[in-house]
Parts: sequence; C-alpha cells; structure tokens
Amino acid sequence: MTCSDVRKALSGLALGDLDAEPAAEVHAHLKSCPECRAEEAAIGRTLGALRRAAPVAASTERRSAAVSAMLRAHGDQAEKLLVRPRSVAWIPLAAAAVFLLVVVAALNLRGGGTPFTVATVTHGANFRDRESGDWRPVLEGMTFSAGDRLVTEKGCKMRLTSGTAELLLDEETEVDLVAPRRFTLEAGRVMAVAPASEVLIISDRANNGVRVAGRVEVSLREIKASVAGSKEVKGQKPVIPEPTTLIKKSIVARVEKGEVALDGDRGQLLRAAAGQQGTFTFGGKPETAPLEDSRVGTWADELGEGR
Amino acid sequence: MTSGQGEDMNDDEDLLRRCARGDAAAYRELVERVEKPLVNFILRFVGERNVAEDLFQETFVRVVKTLGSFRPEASLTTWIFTIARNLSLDWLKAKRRHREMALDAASSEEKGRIIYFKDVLRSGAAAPEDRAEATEDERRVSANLSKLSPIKREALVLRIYAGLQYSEIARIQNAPVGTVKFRIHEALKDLSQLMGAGEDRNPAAQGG
Repeated sequence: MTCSDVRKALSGLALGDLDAEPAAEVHAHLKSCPECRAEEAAIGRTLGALRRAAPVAASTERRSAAVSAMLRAHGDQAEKLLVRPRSVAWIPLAAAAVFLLVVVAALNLRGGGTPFTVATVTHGANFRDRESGDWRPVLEGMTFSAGDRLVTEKGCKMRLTSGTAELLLDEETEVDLVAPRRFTLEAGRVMAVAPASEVLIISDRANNGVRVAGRVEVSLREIKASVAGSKEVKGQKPVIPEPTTLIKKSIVARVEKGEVALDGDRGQLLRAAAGQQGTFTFGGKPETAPLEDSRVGTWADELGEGR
Repeated sequence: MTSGQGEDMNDDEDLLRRCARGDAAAYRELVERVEKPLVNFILRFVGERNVAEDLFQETFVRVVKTLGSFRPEASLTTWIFTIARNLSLDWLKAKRRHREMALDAASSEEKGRIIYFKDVLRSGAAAPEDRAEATEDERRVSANLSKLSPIKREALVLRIYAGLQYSEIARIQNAPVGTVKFRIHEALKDLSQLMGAGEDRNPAAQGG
C-alpha cells in the first residue's frame, strides 16, 4: 500500500468501516510511516472532538413540551371531525365558538385535562398503579387521567364523570385513558354521555375511533378478513399459500341521542345520528345502519346518570 | 440479526399504532427514543439553538399529522429524521429568502439572483459561536463543519450525532450506501484537515 492509498483509507479505519484484510494492511503501513501515523492521529483527534461536541443534552422539559405539542396536534385533528357546515348567518358565531372550543381544548390538553372522578362503583373494579404496575381497587371519589387503565370485574359497574361528561362501564370492561377525554376500549362496553362542547373519544386497538356528542353505547365486535393470494418471485414458480383468517376487535357505536363522528383507521369519516349504529369494516371503512333495538344501554340505568 | 430487525419492525408497528390512537405514553416513548440525537442533528443543521428546539417540537407535530403516510419499509427513526431534515431545509430556505429580500431592498443589483440549494445550506449553518456555553471542541467543530460541502456534512452529522446506519442515511439522502460511506469518509478527512489548519494558525495568531 502506498501513502496515498493509506490516507484514503484512514477515515474508514477510524470509523470502523474497513474489512479485516485492508485494515491489517493499513496498520502494517502505519508502523513504518510516521507521516501517515500523524495523519491517522489527526483524524482520531477530529473524530474525538466531533463526538465530544454534542452540545445539547436530553431534557425533561423538551420531552414534555414535545408530547404536549403532539397531543394538541392530535386534538386539533380530532376537533375538525364534529364541525358541521353552517349557514352564512351563523359563520361569525360559529367561528367564535370554534375558537373558544380550541382555546378550552388547548388549555385542557396542556394541563393534562380535567380528570375523571369515580362517582359510583359497585364492587370489584381495579386500576393499574402507574408506579408499581400493580392492580389496585377503585374507590368512589378517586380521580383518573391520561395514562390510567381501569377494569371492572363480573358484576361490577362504574360511573366516571368529568365536567358534564360521563363514562359508564359495564361489567367485565377494560378501558385505557390514553389522553384527556380519549379512551381505548380494550374489552366490554361503555356508555358515553357527553355534550357537544365536551366530546369524548373512544377508539379500538385497530385504531377506529368514535367521537361522542350525545348518549352513545360503545361496544366491541369481532370482524374477520380472509387473506388469500399467490406469492410470485421472479424466476420461480408462483407459490399459493393457504388462505388465513385475520380477526380484529372493532367498535360498534349505538346512538341513542345526539351523534357520533366515526373516524376509520385510515381517516375515512362518517356521521351516525340518533337511532343509528356505526360500525367499521375490516379495512377501517365506517358504515351506518338503523338500530335494530331502540333501547340503548339499559344496563347503565342502575348507575343513575342524567339522561 | 434478522429476527432482531423483525422485532424492531414489530416494536415500531406497535408504537405507531398506539401513537395513532393519541396515546400520550406512546408519544413519550417515541420522543425519548430519538431526543438527543435528533436535537443535536437539527442544531448541526440549522446552527441556532432556539430554532433547533422549535424545529424539534415541529418535527413531532408533523409526525402526528402524517402518521398515515409512514411506510414500514423505512424505520421509524429514519422517517423522523427525514421529517426533521425537511423542516430544517425549509427553515434554511426561508431564512435565505428573508436575507435575499433584505439585500434586494439595499441593492437592486441583487435582484433576479438565483438561490442555489448548496448556498442555502452553507448560509444556514452558521457556527453558534455566540453561545456562552459552547465548549472549545464545540466551537471548533461547528466552525469547521460549516465549511464542509452540505451533502458531506449532512452525511457525517447523521452518522456521528444521529448514530444512523449507513443504509438509513442512504435512504434519507436517496443515494447508494457506497456513496454515503464515501461522503462520510471524505467529510471526516476534510474536517481533519480544516481543524489541523486551525490548530496551526492559532499559535501564530496568539503570538502576533
């Protein structure tokens, strides 16, 4: 190896990018060449200075600010769902109302939102302790906010309130409070009661969501898709694998009063009004149909929420 | 190795799914995963601390707004760095435009001048010498990094400060892996020469 070859390879050597053989040749040359050794030392010093010169350290404030900004961005996107077109005469008033809503929502999100308070709980509900990860019993008067997970056991029902919004959990139900006013329904069913100014958002693990402004029962159903087709690789015979079935748990929203905005996992939007139920296809497409049974959420009556 | 990458992809998918639901814990996990390399990468790119902090926040806002456009063939980290890089470039272009307008007002001769992308990068990467907390290393590195060609500097910064793999940088720069390696090696060599020249000059400057 000449000095010229070695000097071309020194950066690669310093960064650990050379294969064993060329690296050994470079090392052999360096032993006998003080000029190239000086060059190698200079590159090493430069790399050391580069690595020492990361000027910005990690910061809790920066991370918290980023998470708050993300929650606000998510909230802003969600807020757009329930804004309906209005007649021209209503535009200034509607604009003022939307502005106020956004300000209130932003303040709520910035402060972590109004927590949910347990107004009623029959026996056997638990929450997951954030620090230890253990499950502990839920008691009336406790408050929960984003990051909490709640489970009701068989025979247990629970009523949570936040402002004028309420969330009622039937037995054997599990919800994850993922953001202020946003839940993921993991199992069971809930009754969401919320005015238009304090909508509640409930989503499933498949990322379909409903935004509730009214009185709406939200439950889960299994939806299936069959996957079939051939795999083709150039130069080889096509392979036809056995069809497989995929199963997802997807939300069903039964609207008694008010309305829900159905937000499919790929951003498809649809509205379901009182007397309708909203569902999602396997591909996340929202659909509506008339309610088969107009009695919605009678299981929640004993919890005594204001209809 | 393959199963490790598979697990990473599964982790990414799970994290992404939780992010799409607006899960605050998932957002925190995502931010923690890339915080330090990302903020340092942006700082090296734009050269101004306050701007880097703003662009860091904006990157994550953009992540939330464009979750649907993420394609699993790239890693989440690569995707986030690509967003940050594009935002940084936009900011540098806007800054350059602002400067151009000021120049136009001062001299009509400047009107009609074409703004070249490489100039935009060079002008934006001013050394943060005015920061009191800048260490000697940082001052020397910043001053000399800004003299590198933009494309080499970007590749080197993505490797050293963001800790990205060559294949990830190749995806961001839309170039073959071999080209990216060459750019990084050349960047380190050029930087070493620049810093060596600075060391040679300093004693003379102090003495004179």
